[in-house]
Amino acid sequence: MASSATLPPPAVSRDWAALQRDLLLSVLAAAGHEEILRGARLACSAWYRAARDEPALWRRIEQHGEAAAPDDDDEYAPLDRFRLSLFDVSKPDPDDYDPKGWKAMPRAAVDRSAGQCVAFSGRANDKLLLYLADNFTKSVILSILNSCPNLRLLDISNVAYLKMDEELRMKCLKIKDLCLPPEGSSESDDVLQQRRRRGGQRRLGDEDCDNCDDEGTSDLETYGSTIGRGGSTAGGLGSTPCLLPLLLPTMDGM
Amino acid sequence: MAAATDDAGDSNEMIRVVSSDGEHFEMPEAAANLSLVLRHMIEDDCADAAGIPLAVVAAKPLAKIVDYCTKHAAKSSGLTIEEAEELKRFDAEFIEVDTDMLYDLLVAADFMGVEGLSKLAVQRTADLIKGKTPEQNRETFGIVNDFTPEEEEEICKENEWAFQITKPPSRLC
Repeated sequence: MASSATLPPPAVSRDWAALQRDLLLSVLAAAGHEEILRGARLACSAWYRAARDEPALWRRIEQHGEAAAPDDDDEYAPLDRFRLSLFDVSKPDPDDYDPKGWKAMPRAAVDRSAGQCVAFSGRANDKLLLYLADNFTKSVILSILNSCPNLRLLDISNVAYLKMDEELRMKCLKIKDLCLPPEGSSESDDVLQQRRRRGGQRRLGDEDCDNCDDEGTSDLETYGSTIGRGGSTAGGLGSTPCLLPLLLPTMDGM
Repeated sequence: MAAATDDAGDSNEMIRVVSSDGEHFEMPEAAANLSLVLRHMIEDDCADAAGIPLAVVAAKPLAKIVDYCTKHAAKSSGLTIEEAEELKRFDAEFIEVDTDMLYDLLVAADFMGVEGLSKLAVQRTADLIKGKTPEQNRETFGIVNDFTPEEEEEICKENEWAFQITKPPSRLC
């Protein structure tokens, strides 16, 4: 008692690590993906888990500011050759040159979106576009298959760049009417190689190559087309969990 | 700060609220209506002379929230450009608070459903996060590095392909 007489009333402790999840997610969303990846999520376990476990946080991937600005010498080397110096960007290693992180960051963000990403705007090179497409469309189609156990008809023939891997094939076994993408569009790497040889670059979603620049990079803005009750056919839903409209990227015409 | 409670019965003019630590405040009904919770209480005739008890909001943040709502309710419609800018300046000054108060405002505004203030507090918190390393964020918000070895390993693994941490913020990698 005596010791506390001269002290101010004890402050209720505010534990930022224990901030309720929805508020923390609002804060992280307002801070932006670059900040989350660069610093916020590594502050403590609770923030890390919030950033990791909430795909909704990554539904809209937008790069602004520094990372979205063009580098002086953008080369279109494969994405995985680049590394991002997170905490010391002042000394870029020439071999690991991605000073602003625009190549690595969207990829990390896409991973975290766990297929929930519906909008992406930022910069990308061709490999990232394919990565986005593969990762994204596969997750969306898997989520259709998983949430609609009675699905009998699936038409994904207009989905370009879908790699029909073993997992997808197994899941599709019980679909009676299955329309798959035409052969040839499933081999992303081959397509990538072809395009590399042609030196082709492309703005995603455009029908032609008018907007290509010559740096091997494109500005990217992709918004989905809708698969749902009225869109691509999903028959035999019956009483299964409601299939909400799902967004697929318009990856055709590449 | 404490409001007089000599008015009997419901009042359409002033709404009384009581903080978790028993302090009374009053504000115009238009101001109270900016809080979803208070608006529902008023609509349900729960706003009486005794005041609406807010069990999880202490006096200090509540005083700020009453200020905020009163200011914004007075200037809610038909703003001139000058008034809008003045309100913006008010907001900017209003939210210049320490992290303890910010935390309280964040939680209280969310609890009371004061949308504008929620956004303001969220944005302020996000602004504090921006441009900081993990260690700086820990310092700012008084949080401790409590990663489990498993999580550290997970982080190191994903850093292998995407991020090269040249200056580890702590024990990480």
